[in-house]
Amino acid sequence: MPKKQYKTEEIVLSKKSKLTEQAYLYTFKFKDPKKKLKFTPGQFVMLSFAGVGEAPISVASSSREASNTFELAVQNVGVLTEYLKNCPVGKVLGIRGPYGHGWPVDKIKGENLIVIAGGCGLAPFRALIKYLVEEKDYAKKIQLLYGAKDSQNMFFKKEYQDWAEVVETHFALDTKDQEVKGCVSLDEGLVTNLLEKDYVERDAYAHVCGPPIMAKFVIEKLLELGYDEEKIFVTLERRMECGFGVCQHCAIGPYYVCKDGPVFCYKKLKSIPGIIEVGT
Amino acid sequence: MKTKELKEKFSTLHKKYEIFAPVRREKRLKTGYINTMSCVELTAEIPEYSYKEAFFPSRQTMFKYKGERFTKEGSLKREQVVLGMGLADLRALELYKRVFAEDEYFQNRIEKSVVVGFGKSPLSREALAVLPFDLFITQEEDESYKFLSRTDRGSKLAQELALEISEDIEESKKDEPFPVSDFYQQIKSNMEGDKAAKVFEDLGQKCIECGKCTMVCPTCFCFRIDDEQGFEEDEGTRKRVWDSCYYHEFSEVAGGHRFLDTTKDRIKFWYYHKFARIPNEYKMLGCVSCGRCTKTCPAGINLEENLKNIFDSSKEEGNKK
Repeated sequence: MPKKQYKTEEIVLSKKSKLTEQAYLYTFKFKDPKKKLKFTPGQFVMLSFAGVGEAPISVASSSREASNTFELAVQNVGVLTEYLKNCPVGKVLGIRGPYGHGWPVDKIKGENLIVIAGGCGLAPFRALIKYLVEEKDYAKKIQLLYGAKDSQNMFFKKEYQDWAEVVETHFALDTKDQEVKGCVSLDEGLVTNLLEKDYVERDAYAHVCGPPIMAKFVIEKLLELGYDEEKIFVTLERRMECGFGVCQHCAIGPYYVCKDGPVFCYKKLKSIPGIIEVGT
Repeated sequence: MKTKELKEKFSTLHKKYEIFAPVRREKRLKTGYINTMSCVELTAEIPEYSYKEAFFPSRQTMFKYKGERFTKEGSLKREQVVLGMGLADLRALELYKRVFAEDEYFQNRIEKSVVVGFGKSPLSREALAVLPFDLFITQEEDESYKFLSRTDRGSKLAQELALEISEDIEESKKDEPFPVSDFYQQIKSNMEGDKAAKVFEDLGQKCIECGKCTMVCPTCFCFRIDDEQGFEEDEGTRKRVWDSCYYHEFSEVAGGHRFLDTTKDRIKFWYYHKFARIPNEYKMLGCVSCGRCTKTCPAGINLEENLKNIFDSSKEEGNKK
């Protein structure tokens, strides 16, 4: 049976707040007051800009309740994001979705979780972190290991203090330019180095998002430290046109990143050549 | 019925329907939408282009936009007759029916199409029963024509043209009517196990990435979605456009990174799609052996030869051990 797979809902840009020099947190609301976005943390939407096109962007707001408003954290990297950056509040855009499979929220219930993010890779975690902060005792111990170039390039800086009660945060900056509020530790160096610290839970789920090269080294380190490959989850970036596994752009081996991912269990990925090649 | 009479019967079909059919231009048999029936050539020869344009247009308008408002477009205005599809192309259509099962644009075109197949006798009825045609024309050994109907739509068209149906073909009820043979099972497993590295290393040196094979291939269906500006700055159309996995931009993400960065990677992606991903996902092979890719390749790449080499790649590995 045919479905309206490409139907785009009108949304209004209602707020824009600067995250870094190159990134904003955008708040949107559906033009239709009855429409709500129901999604799970780690899922994405296709953001549409008439005349420019579409781009897959993970939802950054809390997923706890379906809502008429939602947030997207967007790094300015391509054509559409450049347009978005210059968008005035009140501008009408479109979305379709949500699509894909996000973080395995059910699995981490009552378990330890380490979240490992690099740069704008913290964006797909915000929905998860907000969920865990709102559902206080959902997981056992939650640690966030976040790496960035310097404090100027960190996402969601104003929120770490709000997360602190539930999330223990440790940061690694390439250049430690200034102190950051709300963290337990702040080191200079790579996020991979943080993994070796004694304070990091060893019996835990590990969720990873960052540039491909970071994800590779992080997963390598996690395996070396004895983390169970079934408990390692990573989100992948690929070009996407349709969002539901037809257009072929995001195909990796037998999977589609848009439909079967973007969050994958490492165990599922390890046999696919060229995706995350540990030890090469 | 002989050729002359057949031509007469079909001569005014274009007045009622859009016609997509094989036509010969400058000695080359192609396919396309036509305005007059006199140029149609019904033949068992495989046309250079496939029939996919009729069901999955190379530039499908999906929406038009004015300001920020999108309005759905892209429905066929008239019914169409897709004429002369051979067995291979009908098989490719069956794959599309699976791939685009939920796609409103494809389904709209299918609903408005009468699919007329063509082939030379003898043809196995079992083979015909699994193919998605409405009406089928067979050319008998004595050059006469017979008409087989498989659907009400086929019978209706036959009635309109005063064609006598010689046989009704019953739709097959088989669960998996297109089993993947042992030869292709081995190719699938070699692709999945990345056994044929050497084959792709060589192909990577040979292929010039012109994308012609993907354009003429009746099963290639990857696409991108493009916004096309109209005359006014705030209006235009959103289109679904055929893409090709041989093009550099196919895997490019914002920021410029390409996940399929070499010719070798991209050509392997194509073979993996046809011979591993499609069989897993759609329970049939992603190749209908029409031979168009080999015929059209300016670099002389031969699919059949490559398949033999991919098949052999697991044996070679065994010998090495």
